[in-house]
Amino acid sequence: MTIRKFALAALSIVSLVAGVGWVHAEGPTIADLLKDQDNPKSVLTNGLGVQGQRFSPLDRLNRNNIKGLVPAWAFSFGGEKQRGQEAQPIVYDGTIYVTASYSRIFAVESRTGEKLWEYEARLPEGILPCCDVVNRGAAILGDKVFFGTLDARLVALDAKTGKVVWRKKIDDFEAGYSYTAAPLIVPSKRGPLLVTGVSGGEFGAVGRVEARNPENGELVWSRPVIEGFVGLLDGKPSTMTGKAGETWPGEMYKTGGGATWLGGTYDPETNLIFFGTGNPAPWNSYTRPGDNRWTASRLALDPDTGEIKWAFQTTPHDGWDFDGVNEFISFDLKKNGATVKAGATADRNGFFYVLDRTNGKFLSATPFVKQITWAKGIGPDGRPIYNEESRPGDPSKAEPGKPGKSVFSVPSFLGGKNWMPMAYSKQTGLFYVPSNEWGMDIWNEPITYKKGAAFLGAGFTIKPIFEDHIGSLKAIDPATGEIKWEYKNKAPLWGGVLTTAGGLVFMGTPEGYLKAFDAKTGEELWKFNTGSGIVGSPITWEQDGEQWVGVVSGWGGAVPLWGGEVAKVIKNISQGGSMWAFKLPKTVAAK
Amino acid sequence: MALLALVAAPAAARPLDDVLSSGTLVIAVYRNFAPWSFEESGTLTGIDVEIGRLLAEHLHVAPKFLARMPGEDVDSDLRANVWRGDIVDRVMADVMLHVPVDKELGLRNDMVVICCAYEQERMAVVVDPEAVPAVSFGAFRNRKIAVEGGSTADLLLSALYNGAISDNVRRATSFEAAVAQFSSGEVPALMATRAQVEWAAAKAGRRVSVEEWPLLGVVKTSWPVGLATRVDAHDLAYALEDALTEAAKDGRLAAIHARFNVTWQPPAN
Repeated sequence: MTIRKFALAALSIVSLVAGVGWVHAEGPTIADLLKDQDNPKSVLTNGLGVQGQRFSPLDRLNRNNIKGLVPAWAFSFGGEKQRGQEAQPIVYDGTIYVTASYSRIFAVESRTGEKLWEYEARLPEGILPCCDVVNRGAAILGDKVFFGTLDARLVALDAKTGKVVWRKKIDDFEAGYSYTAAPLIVPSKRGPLLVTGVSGGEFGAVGRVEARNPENGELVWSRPVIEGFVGLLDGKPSTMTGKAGETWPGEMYKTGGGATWLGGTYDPETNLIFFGTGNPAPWNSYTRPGDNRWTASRLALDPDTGEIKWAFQTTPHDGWDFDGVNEFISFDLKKNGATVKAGATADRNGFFYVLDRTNGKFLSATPFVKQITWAKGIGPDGRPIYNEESRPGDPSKAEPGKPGKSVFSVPSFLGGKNWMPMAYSKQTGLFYVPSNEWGMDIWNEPITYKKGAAFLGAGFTIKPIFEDHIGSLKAIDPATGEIKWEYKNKAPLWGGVLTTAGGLVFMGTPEGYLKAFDAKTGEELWKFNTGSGIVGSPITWEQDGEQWVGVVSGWGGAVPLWGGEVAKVIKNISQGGSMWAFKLPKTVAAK
Repeated sequence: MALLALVAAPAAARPLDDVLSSGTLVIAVYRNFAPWSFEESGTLTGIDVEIGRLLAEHLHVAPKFLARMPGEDVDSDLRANVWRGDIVDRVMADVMLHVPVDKELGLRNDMVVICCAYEQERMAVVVDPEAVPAVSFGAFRNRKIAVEGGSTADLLLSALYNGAISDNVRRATSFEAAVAQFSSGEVPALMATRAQVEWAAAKAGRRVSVEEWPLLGVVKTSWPVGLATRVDAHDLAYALEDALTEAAKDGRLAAIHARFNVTWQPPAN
């Protein structure tokens, strides 16, 4: 440690002597971030690459030697706050940066699991983050790491010491705003930008995507996602998103929702930022006839200005709470001998979409969960063919004091797939989609109160479709929509997926297992119980000539809060909070 | 058997004893909820805050207020404020005010006691009489009316006449913002609960008229509010009920309301 400190001191002296160039003396550059996927010695971005493919070129670990994968260390986040670990760790230069629930971040020595520093945000008492206390990960650039907190702030910390460099408010937590996603760093003409959305928000909240200067947190641009709102660029109004009121009645667009709570991806080839948007407000769809753009959509933004280059709406006029926030992953689609610059997303609404990522043109959509009721399919124009019978009833048509007609709708509002990111293998050309087979009974609830006043709520019960499983990991061929294999899991899946050039797919389960599957066949090859449910996203990296795998463990997230009947299959799962690291020892790999 | 009785007895009696021995009654009220509980020049004030003081005084303890944000529904507020605590540090209150007294709500929330109605809430409008010379909501087929977005008033007006006046509903991001639209004369009407409307009327600084027009809808237009304690604190609830009964009788409840330009509406049984 003393030697390390001495070395650091020496380095900073050298930096000072070097003068102007010192800013880049430490830490990864934007160029490093852009080629993150090709450098297995580090994991610098959420998604193991800015495109978010969660594909590692590492092939040392494969189906023949995976039985030799053993735990190297486990690190406990400590304290009493043992729940909801949804992070993907970052690995750089012998240090792991991992966030934990309740707005905590840790720097851990990557070979031993020893803690280097810890930062815990001081959260105001009484905050009500909408969707549990999770945090989904950090970003790194230069000498700083960045993460967001439950009271809707962004914090930049010194990567070596954990000391706060700057702290900026994204929005007012008292108005219900929060922040849980991993920030995204993108290049622009003026240098790297730190890009975030907003989480939650009560009535009146409108989703937006924002870019900040990572050096000081100053806002560079802001792009509201609802038609009729004007963006900001360098402190001045820029352009309007769409046209006011075009797909909304009256002034309903002013409070239209569309929270951008899950963060985005970036594609260097098209120089576009991709962000998803949440469902429209209010929940009662009968009060807002029209498409309600751009809620439940994917947007492509220009990193220099925040202008919308294209947009695609997965659920126009949503009435089922189908957020459109799920990640959009860039990939090269090989179809009929041609290569298309495509992108794919598995929506809450149960359909797997493939779009042309250069212009947002619809290419295909196929169901990735079974027995979908809300739509008969997706038409050639990319619009759903609605089954209006499956739309929850109009509350104003209900009989006073009586529950409205109950509708059974699939998927449930938690989605065919929720926040948990899928992976794309450059080796197999398949997407690995963590999905859930569930529906919901939904009705208008006559006796509800909000803030001390009578209110109209929606009552719902989430129901499994099948007796033996809810969770379903599927391998999908993006060229045909064909499901190549499926792994069924009793409890609902809530964690991300990783795939490697070693022909493997990794995923955690609520039952506590980190599992490895054969990427071609879906055969389960390896599993290890981490002691609590896994709802985070695994990573892999190379260290000292060995392949390592890491994942956070700690049950929580929205399922235990909203599970309804689902609660039965998760009642024996213990909470927790730790990171596990595994490695394939050289001696085993050599066999 | 003997051990069980030993453990059970103090647990049942604990909340009132605890409150008395600690010398403090912790009271949860809603944040930014004028005229019930809101900040004025950095100080928490309002009708519920005054009622809270009165409750503490009755027990000869000091009041301590938790001004809490509302959750998605009252059920989640009861969870965060009375029986499980807030999501960060599990902090909670001994009693929460302004809880609707409703049998169904009580059955659904078996971790709390809801009782002691001290107020009848009902919907009302305040209008500029010249600009809105009408006696029904039909007036808003061609006039604007301000509401707090997502509130009961919003729900009622959006659904009225099959949505025919929905486009004329100005949905503000807060009650204060809706009041501001009315006070400035920008919008000739405001709809909210009776107490909110009277409070806004006093602030308007011009002659306005408070009305209760007939209203049909799927949402209740009138309901009693009371308080909630944890289910193991029945004794505390009884003690607080005594305090409220006395204050209703001797005119203190009405006087508290009058200080905020609101007429006390006794609960309808």
